[in-house]
Amino acid sequence: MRMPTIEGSILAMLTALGLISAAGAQDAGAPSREQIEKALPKPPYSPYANRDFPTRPFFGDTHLHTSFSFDAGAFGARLGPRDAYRFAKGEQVTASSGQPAKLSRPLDFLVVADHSDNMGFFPDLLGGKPEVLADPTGRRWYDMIQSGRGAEAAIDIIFSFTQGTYPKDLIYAPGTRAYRGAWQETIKAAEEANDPDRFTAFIGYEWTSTTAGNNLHRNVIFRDGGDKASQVEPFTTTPPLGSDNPAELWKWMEAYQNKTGGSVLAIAHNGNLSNGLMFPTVEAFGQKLDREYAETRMRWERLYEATQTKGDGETHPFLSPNDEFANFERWDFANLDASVPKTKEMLEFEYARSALKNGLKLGQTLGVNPYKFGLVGSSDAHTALSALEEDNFFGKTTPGEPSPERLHATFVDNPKTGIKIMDWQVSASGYAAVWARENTREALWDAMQRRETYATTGPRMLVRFFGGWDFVPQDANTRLPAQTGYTKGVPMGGELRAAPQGKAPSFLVAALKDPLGANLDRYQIVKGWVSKDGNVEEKVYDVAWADAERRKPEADGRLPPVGDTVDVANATWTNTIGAPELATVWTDPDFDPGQPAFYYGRVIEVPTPRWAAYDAKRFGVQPLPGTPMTVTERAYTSPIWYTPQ
Amino acid sequence: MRLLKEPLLHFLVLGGLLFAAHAAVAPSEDKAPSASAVRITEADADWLKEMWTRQWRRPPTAEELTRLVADHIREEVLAREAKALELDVGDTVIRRRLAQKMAFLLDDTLQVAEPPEAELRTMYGARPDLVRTPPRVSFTQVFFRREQGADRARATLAALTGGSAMPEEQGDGILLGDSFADQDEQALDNLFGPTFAGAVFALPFGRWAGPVESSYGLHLVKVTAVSPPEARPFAEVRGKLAEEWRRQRQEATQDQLLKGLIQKYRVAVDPAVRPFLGPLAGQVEVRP
Repeated sequence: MRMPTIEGSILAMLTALGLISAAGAQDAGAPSREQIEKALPKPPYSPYANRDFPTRPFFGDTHLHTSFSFDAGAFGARLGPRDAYRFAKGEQVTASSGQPAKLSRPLDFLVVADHSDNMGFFPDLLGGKPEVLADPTGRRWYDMIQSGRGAEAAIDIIFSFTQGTYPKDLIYAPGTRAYRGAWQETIKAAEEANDPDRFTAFIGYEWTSTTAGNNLHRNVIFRDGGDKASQVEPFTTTPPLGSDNPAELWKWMEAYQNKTGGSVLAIAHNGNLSNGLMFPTVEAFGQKLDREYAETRMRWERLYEATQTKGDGETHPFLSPNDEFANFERWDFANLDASVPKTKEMLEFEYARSALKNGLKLGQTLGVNPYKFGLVGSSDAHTALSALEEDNFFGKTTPGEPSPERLHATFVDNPKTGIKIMDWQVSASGYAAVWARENTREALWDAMQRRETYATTGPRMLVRFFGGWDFVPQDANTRLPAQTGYTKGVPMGGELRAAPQGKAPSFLVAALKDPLGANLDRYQIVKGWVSKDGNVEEKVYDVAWADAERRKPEADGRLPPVGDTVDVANATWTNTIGAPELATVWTDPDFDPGQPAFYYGRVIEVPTPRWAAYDAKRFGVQPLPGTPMTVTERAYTSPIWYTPQ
Repeated sequence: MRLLKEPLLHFLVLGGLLFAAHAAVAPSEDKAPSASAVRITEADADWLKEMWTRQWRRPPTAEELTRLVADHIREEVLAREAKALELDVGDTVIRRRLAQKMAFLLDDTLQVAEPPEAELRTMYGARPDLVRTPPRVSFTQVFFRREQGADRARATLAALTGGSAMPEEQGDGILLGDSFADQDEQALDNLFGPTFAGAVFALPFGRWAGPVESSYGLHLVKVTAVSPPEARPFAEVRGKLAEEWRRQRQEATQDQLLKGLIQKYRVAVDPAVRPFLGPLAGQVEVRP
């Protein structure tokens, strides 16, 4: 798995020579990944030699808060970044609520993303105190440390703390490193936890723009280590030092890269709480959308977090009335603080699918599609615990950790608008799956940048999605479908151009259930396109499903439901329905080479008990009326786009 | 009783209290600060510039600096006034933040200690969990779905043991693939479910064996390479050991320090709190 690959080396060489930029190589008109792959020598006879494509997905969370987040601390979170990484690595920790917590199995990676606002409160101690070393005690300690007697100095310093003789000015003294802030602590925790090839600890933060309660949050993720990340302070949202405009965050990101030679990306989330502002089509922050906006947004935001604890963001029944799975873990009441109720007109600019559709159209008018993003899921938990399995859900905030009360507790109550959200509405979702060749910061980050990712609502199913022009049905039956997929097509997140005469795009799709989880109901392909008259359209196709001999589509094209084995009272289910694995090749029957389109995969599990059912059973609590007790977990792949030449 | 719920009354009572508190705390007219109580020094201005530059990666313009200074002054006087009114007292968030600040400060101070080489050497011998690489295994497998899997697996195993080549058409496909290189136990558990890894590590080397059960079905497995756990050289893990040494040292000293502070502030509790003292029982005084 650690073997450097030919393709990787060539990419690296080209990048080093300045011939292509590693970031955005696919869009820049430079040689694409696929082109480079095609230019490589033919594969060896042995199908197992030089396997240079990702063979397994890595699962993680790109969005976890700890006690370092101002609001998490206020909620009662006691665990910091170090605890968060330990927990993600599979160790048992004591949750802030005092109970032991452990994952069913370790995660492969984690981004601790605490709010930047109010995080960097400590470094201001550094400034304005140039006179520090004038303090005689400070001078003495400083000299001790400089001359290598640090341990001695430490004991002396500790003693002075307890005796109350610690000179105040020394707190700010350079050289004692005693001014390191939450940001530096965050970096340090990641550096310590990062264990290449076994566990990746990314450095990151959340930029939390919430003007007037409208959620425009972004998580910023560094490809780099502490040497680069510690050269900057996270960008904040409060003027004059920060800004609530994403365009200013993008400037900060560019400045970071220019200064350090490093790389960062940003992932937006919870458009469903933005009240129509997450995916604008006309203007943003008073500026008319133009080509530059589209290019800049696409340069920095290649992924979108499509599912998390505060509701699912794939689509909405109002936007997708013909999609029978659209009504899923919905949070469509208002904006983030429930200060302004939701109206139907806002929805189109809040959900991933409608944004992907509008992006196609904007691509035609602006020349560049600003919403060509891939998909991930993550938690946004404020507990330092990335525990999103239904039977092991540790809630979104510390008061929402497992307790007999949480099925009845209130999450948000805004008396002004009368909008009230209950804890039972919090969703045990989700994780990010990343197809990378190895588990390192660089490999995972690069895979995110090329959008080779998918979102899951919690389970760790394995999902493949390849698009091309030449897939044939037998390709789904080979022993190594992935090899065929990468050879004849592009993986999720990729692009198709130049349709060969008379051909429609074909997709090699496959999914394998979570080894600990439920069987799969079906694999669907969601298509969005711009019709001849300029309207955006969508359609969901069932392409592979369990029990295909018995389950035939009805006259209206709908597939009969897979069934339901959930015993709510006992919070159990069986894998007697569904299939552990689904695979097929599907060709678009409605393809028009003149129309831009996107396709993404959606994998649906058979029904299983929702976290509320486990709570009701384990605590012996009666749920409130209307609490959903079952769930159909799912995965969303990054799309593959077709753009007419 | 309705009156008690009246917001206006709350406002008036709170306002009155604030006013009284203010009168008690604030200096009266004649004692008003004659010289500046709030002074913005050149160093402060430099700091504002520095903070701006760190965020925006460029120095502020004159106009921006003007805004920064105005903002700073505004914030400073509001904060002073809030403190004078003791609005910080009893504020959970402020208390927590101060405690966190103190904790960072302590952590950092304790970091100045450099671990002695000899102690690291001892640790190198005593902590295999930090030193050894996990065992890894490479193998080829043939997968059988559970339906009639056992019979088919046995038949295939017999053929393979009889010297047949790798069975291209035997068994069922599985999306995970058929050959795995250098996998440790955690990786295998994540791919195949629990118990599979343990079973594979116990298989004989170099010949077909099984079937081994996974979450998906049955697998015939031929182990092609095994790398046993091995100790990484001292130089390679020195950093990790030093980190652990510091962590332990930090934890111990923090405990000691906290004990000292508890004594310094002569923490006393009501008898009713005694049952909840836990490990602090010996350290704090119980007073009626």
